[in-house]
Amino acid sequence: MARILVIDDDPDIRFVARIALRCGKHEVTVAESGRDALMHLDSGAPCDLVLCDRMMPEMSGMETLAEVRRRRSGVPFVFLTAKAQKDEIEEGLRMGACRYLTKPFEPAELLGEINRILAA
Amino acid sequence: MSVRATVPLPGPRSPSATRPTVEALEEERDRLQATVRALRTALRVVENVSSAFERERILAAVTDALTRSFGAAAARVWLVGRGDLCKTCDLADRCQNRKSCLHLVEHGGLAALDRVLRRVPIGDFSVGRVAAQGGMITCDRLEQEPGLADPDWARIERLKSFAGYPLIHEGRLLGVVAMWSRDRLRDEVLEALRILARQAATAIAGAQLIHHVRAESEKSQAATRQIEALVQASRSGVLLVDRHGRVAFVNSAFRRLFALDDHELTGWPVAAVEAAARPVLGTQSLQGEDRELLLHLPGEPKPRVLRSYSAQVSGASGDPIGWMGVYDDVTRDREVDRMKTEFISTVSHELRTPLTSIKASMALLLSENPGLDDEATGLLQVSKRNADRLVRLVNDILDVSKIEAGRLQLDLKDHDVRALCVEAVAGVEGFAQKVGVAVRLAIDDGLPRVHADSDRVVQVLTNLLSNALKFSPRNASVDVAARRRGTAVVFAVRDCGPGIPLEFRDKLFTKFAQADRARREQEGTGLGLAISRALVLAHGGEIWVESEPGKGAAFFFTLPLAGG
Repeated sequence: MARILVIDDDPDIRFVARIALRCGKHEVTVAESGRDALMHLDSGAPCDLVLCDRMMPEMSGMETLAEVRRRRSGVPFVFLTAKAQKDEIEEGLRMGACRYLTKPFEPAELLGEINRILAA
Repeated sequence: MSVRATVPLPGPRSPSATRPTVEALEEERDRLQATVRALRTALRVVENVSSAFERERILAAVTDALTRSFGAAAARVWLVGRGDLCKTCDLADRCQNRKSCLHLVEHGGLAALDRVLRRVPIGDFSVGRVAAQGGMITCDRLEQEPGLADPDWARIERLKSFAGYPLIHEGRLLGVVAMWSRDRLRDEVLEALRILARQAATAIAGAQLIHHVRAESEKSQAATRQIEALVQASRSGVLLVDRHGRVAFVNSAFRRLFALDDHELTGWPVAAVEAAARPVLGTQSLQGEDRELLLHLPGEPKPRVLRSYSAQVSGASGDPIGWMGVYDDVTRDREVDRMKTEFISTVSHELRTPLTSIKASMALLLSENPGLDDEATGLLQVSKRNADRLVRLVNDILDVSKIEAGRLQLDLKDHDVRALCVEAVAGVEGFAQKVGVAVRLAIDDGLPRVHADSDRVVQVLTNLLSNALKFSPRNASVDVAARRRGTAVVFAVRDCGPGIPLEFRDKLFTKFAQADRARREQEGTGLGLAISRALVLAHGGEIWVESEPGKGAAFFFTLPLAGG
């Protein structure tokens, strides 16, 4: 069981991601923006993994990544995004994301990937 | 009639056996004085002829000299020309040649009676024989000459003698000059005719050359004017620089593009043009093989993008005579490209996001709700399958757009052939089980690695495998093989399906080509083979199909070896 923070501006994605991860008995917190997520982390809430979209209004996934790394450098940061161009993936990994997952995703595969990262 | 190649100048007479009388000596003196006068006249004419460029003036001077100074009753000039009057010419039936003949171009002295030989076949009559033999022909007894063109004329005009001399320049026959006289033709007259003919030939050749050069130059001037008009009307800026680095030519588009409308530019050194264009051009150079220039034009918020090409210009001999630059305003093209790419990226993102929610919801409902009845499960499966298909379509359309926009990026690395095949086969395992077809791998041992983008190779293999599985009957098998061929590895995917009709094979690798629309299954997007082809070509490989209807199909593609 891990505590996972899901950041996505699309409420439906937040909803299905939460259910998919809950099937793995994880505790899921959702945030609708990077700012929202940072507020959650700043409140001192425990977090074992961050799953974050890239294309979001106001604060982008990349900006969110940078801010999260400043606050919780040891927490694995995973992108879950429809931006699946090769250079975009490379950029995300270079900036410190530990895994780059692309939409659309199969719930079972998503859960499998997350479990593998948590086990590592 | 006699033929003489040359006629010696009259020298001092050999002393005769009998002592000359006073009358004879006086006669001799007069004759020599006449010779000197005649030769002086000939020389004067020659000088005139040599300085005359017009053909007509040259010929008139020759016939004039012959009739006025050398006692000719008639003098005529023919020039070799095209056989142009054969249809009406009286002599056509006597003419062997028909391609060329002698054209009468000038006559002085007596006019002809009725038969004017405007055209004379080369080799016919006295005049034609002069041309054919290339030497002088003379005759002192015209009344006894059988082959006269117009014996009546000679008789009525009491013409006694004839002399014709060919006009030859540098071995080329140009025509004939001929004279008729009522007296015997004396040696000095013949010598004068020879000098006149020689000089006239040179002058005529010169005049012909000048005429030719003038005509050519007019033609080339017309061509130059046309090309200049084309270049002026071009929307591309064009700059021509001579080998001293000075502007030889610019068109108006060039001036407009670089905001140089107020400058003359022609004759300027290129550096001066660049200096004058500095406000818009900055420090960029006008010369460069193929690159982009950014221009900051006054009053325009965004810089213009110019595609610039320069190339060396060579003269007729192949030596460089300077260089030319061509400048195209591609600002709009670049903007459209950018918008297109952005649009595709946005659309694909906007489509993926809702599809993600739909697909994941279906999957979760199916896996997490054991209480659903068969019908509800079936409906969810239909929805999920079609959502999957939409995702594939979006991916394929995105790939096609990238390929068509030339934005396909390959991540080339060295890869193990077996690993690539295993990955592709693993990807279609589920589908293979569903359709009841076995996939067999036959990879040669010790194959060298290939230089390729692994994701893209797996995409091609997956595509070919899906097609093969789709068209295979139950319990059949699909074979994946790889072997080395020269500096490449050949991949093969074989099935035992119905094969591909011959007439369809050409279209096979084009977009939305599916042979049998009735058989078309819902998994396909119709883009797979077109994408596969583009991906293989981008790797520098080839892709092809071999098939015998009823006996399955085999798809092949090649990839370059690592380090090749």
